[in-house]
Formats: sequence, structure tokens, C-alpha cells
Amino acid sequence: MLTKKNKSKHITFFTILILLLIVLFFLDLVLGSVKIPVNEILNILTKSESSRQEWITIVIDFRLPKAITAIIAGAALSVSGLQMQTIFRNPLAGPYVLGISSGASLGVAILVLGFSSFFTANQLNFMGNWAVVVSACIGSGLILFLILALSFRIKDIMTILILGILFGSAATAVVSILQYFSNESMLKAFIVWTMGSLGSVSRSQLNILLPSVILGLVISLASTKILNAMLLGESYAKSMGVNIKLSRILVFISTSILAGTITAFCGPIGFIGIAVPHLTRIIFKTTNHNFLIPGSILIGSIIMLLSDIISRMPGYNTTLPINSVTALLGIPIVIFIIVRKHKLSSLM
Amino acid sequence: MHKLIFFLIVIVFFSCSNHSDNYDNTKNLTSDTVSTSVKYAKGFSITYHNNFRILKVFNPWQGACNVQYQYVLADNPKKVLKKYSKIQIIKTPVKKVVCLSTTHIAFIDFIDETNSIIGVSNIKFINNKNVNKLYQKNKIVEVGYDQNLNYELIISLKPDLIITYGVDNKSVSYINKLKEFGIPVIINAEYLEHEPLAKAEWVKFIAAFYNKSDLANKKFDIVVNEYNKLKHITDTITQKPSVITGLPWKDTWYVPGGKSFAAQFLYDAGANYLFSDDASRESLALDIETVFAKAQKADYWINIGTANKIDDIINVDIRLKNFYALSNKNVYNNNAVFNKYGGNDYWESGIVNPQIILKDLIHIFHPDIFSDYNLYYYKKIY
Repeated sequence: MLTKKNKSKHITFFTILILLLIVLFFLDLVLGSVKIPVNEILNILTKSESSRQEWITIVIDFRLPKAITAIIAGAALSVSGLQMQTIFRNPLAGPYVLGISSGASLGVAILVLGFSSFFTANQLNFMGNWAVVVSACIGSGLILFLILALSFRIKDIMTILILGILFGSAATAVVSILQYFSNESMLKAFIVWTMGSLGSVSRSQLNILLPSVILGLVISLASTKILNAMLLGESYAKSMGVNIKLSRILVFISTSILAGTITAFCGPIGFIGIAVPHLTRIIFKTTNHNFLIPGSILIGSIIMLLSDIISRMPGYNTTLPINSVTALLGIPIVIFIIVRKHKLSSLM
Repeated sequence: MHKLIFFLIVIVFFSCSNHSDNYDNTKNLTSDTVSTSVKYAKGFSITYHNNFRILKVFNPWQGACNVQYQYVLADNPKKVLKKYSKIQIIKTPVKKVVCLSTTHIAFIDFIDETNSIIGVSNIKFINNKNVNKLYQKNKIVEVGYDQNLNYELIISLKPDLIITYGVDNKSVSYINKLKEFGIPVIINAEYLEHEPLAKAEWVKFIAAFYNKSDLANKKFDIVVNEYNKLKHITDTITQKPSVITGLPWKDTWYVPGGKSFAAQFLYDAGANYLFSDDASRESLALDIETVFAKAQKADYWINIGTANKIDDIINVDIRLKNFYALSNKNVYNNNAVFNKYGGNDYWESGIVNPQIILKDLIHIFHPDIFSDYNLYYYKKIY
């Protein structure tokens, strides 16, 4: 049971995190390759006025959608990772254990590499993001469908985990074959996709990304009770009157919506989904999903914004791929988890 | 089976900062040699001996350091001096040639020898009419590319020469493999040159294998004269429009470096290239935001991949519609000449026609200079 002291502590944490999120969101708008004074940014945001026309475009059309995407992606990946860690009771599970990212990669690889004899890398660029987004969705949807179909039949959750990994490996093998036979420019196009990108999400795509992620998060928040019961083992959950199969499927669906849409629009972004749930548990010192889910949303968004700021390398004229940055930020956390695993397992 | 000694890669032990610049083309000359005039290209040299010629290629791929390939060209390989016999000897003139890049076809066409071509990499990229005709008649076959070369097919073709290009260290592996089969293979590295005329000058390199150096020199001088004449026209121009090139890829926009080949064309055409203060010769990977801030107000936008209409550009990234050049309809692309598969002739015959490309560019940026000129490689995009 929560003590009063704990409750006030959590409120303090949430307040600090929300403030940090706001500060980083603003920093993400301020920092970039092009130097724009802070007062100009405030003017652009409040009055859409600036002494230089191109600054308005940069802030409104480039930095704002990117910062919003960072928040959405961070929240979605962290929550889906948290759900997978709870369902599989495995500290190293993440949003992609079900093979969602491999499925999405397969979809994109078939589009980019499989049909490469029909169009050039340049023409692929002209098709815009939508072709890539749709094929990523089809690919991850296919894997999800397989997992769901099996979830109805298979009782043991570990079997599902292993099947997810196997499906993922199978998809990766097909991707390798496609890579082997494709030409350099297409290969580069595909590799760049696997590195992830927050900046290519346009404002019209945000109109789809945002509602999907909100839907996923709502399902997730609605299943906190199930997740909390699952922590104590499936037989315990069953004794509490939880329908195991149905709950699993509910959680799988929300995970797929969250991780699937982010992968489709931004590419497979690694490590956030594994690292953030642990970070949240360490900070909040609780296993209660009522706190872990909102906590993961906030911490995930904060880390993603931070990664975005670093990836943009303020002051330099170039960018780093977002995946490298999240990996470099996430790996120390994962190492920390492995080294101190006994302690974390007790939290799960 | 006759034995041939194929190659010698000489590694010279001094540091090189930039591709081939540290090579002195005139050293190693002895009394029986005459060096020909290679004026613009930095990547190769030709020296004439009594009964043979020696071709050297310097640092033939990006980032290569102190790599040198040598080829001895002789009508009668027996007459090559003994001290050179360890170098790869190629019997000239060559009659059956496989070329792995479209630019090689342009060079061969320049000296009217396309009938010698028996193998190409990918016919879909090739515009040359005669090569396409020979392909229809099954006199030319496709032999694959890079690591995917069809070695068995190549061996069965028994070519006198394979002209290839180096991408990186890995290229050495397939080049060596071809040599193992006893097929003379040479590296043509024109794509590393930083000036339009230097690229075109590689025609002298190819011509040497056909014993057609005189024709190549004569025709190249005409190109040089024409190019320089055009360049002088823009010398006095003070109103230089600003230009941006290329398209972004996700968050990154690759633009030609300020000292690159593409930038040189723009300077010679009397344009103000927005990244002219940059000192690099390769392309720059810039944040899309940086390019946007600098180029939104650019007067002209050129070289936009395979774009055929303004909508193609907006499809890449809707934010690009904010560029002034787009709303002012000052968008030109270099894909006016192409084959039925979309293979762009700019990258093929354009290599030996820098004077036409320059005239196109001058006409785009300064439309009043040649009043009744029609663009050749370029077209306006609507």
C-alpha cells in the first residue's frame, strides 16, 4: 500500500519530470544547426513573427514537428517496452521482442530492395514517406497477426517470447538476402532507414501518428490492473479473475500500435524501450503500473528529446542518426541493469 | 598457357593529404622517354618510350593514399624493356573491350571506337545509340557489376581489356580476381577529378589503348577552346545569381563541396554557389535546416535527381515548397536527355561535353547572352 510519504514523493518526481520535459522541449526548439536567438523563437511561437522569414519555417516546419515526434516516440517506445518486460517477466524484453521491428524492416526491405529493379533510389525519395510507412505497417502487422494467432493456442508465455524472436530472425534472414542482391544506392537507402529519423515526419503525418499513439497509450493505461496482476505470475493473475489470454492480446495490440507506428514513421529506434522502463523503476522505486506508465511516458519523452538535441549536434552543420544517439545513451543503462540484475529482478 | 606478369602496385612511402596532388608526373623520366601533355587531369600520366608507353594511375579511389597502378602499352609486348617487364603489359591496339561504367562508353565514343565494346555493366543506364544497337544484335552482353560480376561470362568473352573503376579498397579484390583469370584490367578514375576539363581529359587515357592519342588530343583541344571561350564570357559578369543544388535525404542534404567538380561548373557559368566558401572537394552532408536557412532565398535550383516536375520535389518533403526558386519557377534539372529506362545521358556523354553543360548553365543563369540557344542536357521543371 502506498504511504502518504511515498505519494508526496511521487508527486514531487512527476512535477520535476514535467518541468524537465518542458525545458527540454523548449531547448529542442532553440538548439540546432542554425542559430536563432531565443527571443526570436518566442516571437515565432507566440506571434509567428520573425525578423527573418526562413527562421519561421525552420522553427514551425522543421523543429516543432521534430520535437513533437520525439516526445511521441519516446513515450510510445517506453510504454511498449515496459509492457513487454512485465508480460514476459524478463528485464531485457523491449518493444521489439515480438518481432515488430524485424517485420517492419522486412516490409521496408521488400519495398526498397525487392523492387529496386523497378525504380531508383531517387524515385523512392519522390514516393515520399508514405510508401515506406505503409510497407512497414504491413510488415509489422503480419508478424503481429502470427503472434496473436499463436497466442490463442499457446499457453506458455515463454514459448511466445521464443517464437517472437524466431519470427524476427526469419524476417531478418529474408532482409539479408534482399540486401545481398541489391545495388549500392538502394542499400544505402535501406540502411539509412534502419538508423531511424525523427525529422522526416511531416505535419500531415503527425495527424496519424499522434492519434495512433494516444490510442495505444489509452489501451495501455486501461490495462494497468492486468499488468499489476501479471507481475505476481500468471496463476496469481488468474486467481484474481484476470482472463490471461485476452489480457495478453490486449497488451500485444497496444504494444504493436505503439511500437509499430513509431517504427513505420521513424524507423526502428533502439534501446529507449529497454532502458527507460528500468530507469523509471529505479527513480520511482515501485512496480505499480499506475506510476510506471505515466513515469515511462515522461522519462521516455525526456530521453528522446535529449537524444534529438544531441543528434542535431548544435553548432555543427550536420546531424547524427538518432539510433546511434539512443544506443549510446541507452547502453550504459542496459549495462547497469545487467550488472545489478539481482536487484532489478526483485523489483519486477 | 602463356604466362603473364600482371601487375605492380607501387606504394610510395610519403604521406599524401589529398588524392594524387603529391605526385610529380614528370619524375622517373629517362632519356628515352617523352611525357605527353596531360594538362588538367591529376589522376594519370602517360610517358612515351621507344617501342611502348607507360600509363600511370594515381590514387584511383576516394581516400586512396599512395596507391599507384602502372600499365605498359605496347603493340609488340616483346619489345618492352626488361626492367619494365614486371609491370602489367597490355597489347595495343585493343579490339575487344568490356567497360563497367557509362562514362567509359562516352570516352570510347569520343574516339569513334564503340564497335570495340563487347560487354557493359548495365544496358539500362546507357544512352549511346551504337552500343544499344549492338546490344540488340547480341554483339554486346551485360556482365554484371562490382562484386556481382559474372566472371565465367567475362572469361568466355576473352576481352583484350576490361575498363573498371575503383570505389574503395574492396575494388582491389575483384580487380585482382580478373587479373588471376589472365584478363587485362585497368582502372579509370575520372570521377575523382575536380574540374570538368580534367574529367574530360581522361579520354587521352582511354585513347592510348586504341593507339588513337592524336585524335583524342586534337578533339580534346577543341573542347578546351570552346569551354574556355564560354568561361571568359562570364568573367565580366557582376550580377551572379545564387544557386542551390540537389535534394535532401531524410534529415540530411548532400551538397557539392565548395571546391568540387559540380561547384566548378557553377563558378565557370557565372553563378554564386551558396557553399562556395567551403574548402572540401567531396560532397557535404548538411543538416536540412542549415541548407534551408542558407538556400531558401536562392535564385536558382538545379540538379534535382530524377525530378521531372515541381510536384516530384514537393513529394520528397512538403517543406521544400517554401524555396523561392520553386515559386519563381527557376528550377532546372540535368535530365533532359535520357533513354527509355531513364538512364541519364548527362552522366554519360556529358563527361566529354563539358562545354555543352557549361553553355546550358550559362544560358540558365544569364538567359540574355545566347538569345536563341536551346538547352541540351538541362530542362526547365514546371
